[in-house]
Amino acid sequence: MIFLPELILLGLALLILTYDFVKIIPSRRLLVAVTLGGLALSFLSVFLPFLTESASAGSFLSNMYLVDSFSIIFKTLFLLVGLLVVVLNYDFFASAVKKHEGEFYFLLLTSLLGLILMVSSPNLLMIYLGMETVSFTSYLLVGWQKSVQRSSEASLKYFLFGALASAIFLYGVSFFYGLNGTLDLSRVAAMNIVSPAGFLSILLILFGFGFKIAMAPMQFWCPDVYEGAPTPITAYLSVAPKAAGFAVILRLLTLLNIDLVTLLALLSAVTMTIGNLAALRQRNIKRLLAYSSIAQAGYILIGLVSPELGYSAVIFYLIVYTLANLGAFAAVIYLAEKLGSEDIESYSGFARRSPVMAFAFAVFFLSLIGIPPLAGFIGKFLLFKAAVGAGFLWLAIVGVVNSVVSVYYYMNVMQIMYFRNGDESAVKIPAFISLAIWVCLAGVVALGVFPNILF
Amino acid sequence: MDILAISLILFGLGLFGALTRKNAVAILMSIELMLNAVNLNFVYFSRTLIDLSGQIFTLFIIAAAAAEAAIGLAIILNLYREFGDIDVEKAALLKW
Repeated sequence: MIFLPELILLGLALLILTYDFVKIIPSRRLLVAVTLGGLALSFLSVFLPFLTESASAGSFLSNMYLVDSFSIIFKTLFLLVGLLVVVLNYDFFASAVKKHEGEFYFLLLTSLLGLILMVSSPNLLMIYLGMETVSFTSYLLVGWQKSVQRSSEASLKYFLFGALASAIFLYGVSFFYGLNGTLDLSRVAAMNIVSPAGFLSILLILFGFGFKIAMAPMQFWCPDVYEGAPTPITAYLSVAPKAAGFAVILRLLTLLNIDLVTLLALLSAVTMTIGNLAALRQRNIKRLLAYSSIAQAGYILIGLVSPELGYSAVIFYLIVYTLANLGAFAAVIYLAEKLGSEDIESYSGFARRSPVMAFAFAVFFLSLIGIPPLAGFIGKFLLFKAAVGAGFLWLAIVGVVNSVVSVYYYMNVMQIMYFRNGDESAVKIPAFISLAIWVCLAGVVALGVFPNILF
Repeated sequence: MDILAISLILFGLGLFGALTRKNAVAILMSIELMLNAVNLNFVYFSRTLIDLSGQIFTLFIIAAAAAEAAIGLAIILNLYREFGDIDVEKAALLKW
């Protein structure tokens, strides 16, 4: 019962893989239906312990695996992302890829399982294995369009940087083990980070997670990979592994009780500034969203400076960011298919062709900027409040200035959609994509008006 | 301590190779070298601490490195098919 969500996910992944080999009934619809059904089942079973009130929270397998409210929040988030990505993928695959769809879902499901393992363990061995499960599957998913040069190149870059980052991360873990005599974060009595070896080990471990969340100075892979990957995978990579990276950093900081606030504040300021300044000159929408996601990671890092207020703000903002970003990518997938271009200029006058789509796009961007009454405003407000509360007024000011800078490039896209002339023939939005957009839209608005439903 | 110095040298060589080489397979090999430095560290600490979890970690790293090599070579093979070369600087469609 305890491991039901994970077991369903694993069973589903194996089932899809077998189906893809055997193909008794070769049907795309059946494949997608089974994947969605299994994911929904796994999603619902996360909440099962709440209904039966059985002893659900606790540690299992000699403290290798934790089921606590923290891991449940992230499990829910990952499974929701999984559902939305499969939904987004339906139309994308029909038009752009067409091949090996079963294997694609197998890898996606395995990746979700890895994310869940990563956030549910206090043990560095388990965290490493979860992280590698996510990495290996994402390298392959990024390179899925094998005959597209950009996809192959993105996959190579992601692989080489990822493998390098994980080797550096492991070097840090080995020193962590040597200094503390254990890999279990919750059994470390007092971590001495003043000693050079202790500080180095924590720094290298942070480097490993920093790669996943695209924190400066490990953000350089992000735009290339996001541009080259199939768009549903870009959407997936921009939210799920990022949330997992933040989850593990949060766990590390809470369990070890170490003081890294100055370092994190500096990294946060550098990350958002790099992301926003580079985003200003982008012409490709996927690259723009890549730099925007680097900037967003910078905002989220602000919350890490304050254990009292900041950590809950980080989780809130991660959820809001996930919904807004997935929604924006849903629109990008649709537009790329309709217009055959990922160039921002090609969006000229799209608001007249599909007012609903343009409006949704605008709402997601306004939420990423942080305009009330959308959820992004509440999220940013909580983060900045946490920074001020922890005595980092300068960081909050840097955050606000960065938000103002970001208005330019988000507004630019909207301005092109609304105020330029282009083709005016009306278009129809496919059902699956509009479903994903409506779910994200509802989430972004609801969390902005009633933020209390999460707390 | 000698072993830590050896592993540091090994790690440094690997890092240097990974950052300077242009051949994708050579970069992959350099990264494997770094992983071996990590393995050496773990085994050494496991012995001095008289605790088995370090050696178990090493076994997992070896298995993960094998999977990583398989995936990496598949990706490099695909790169060769698309670009006709495995020089990472030849694959430069994506930039600023």
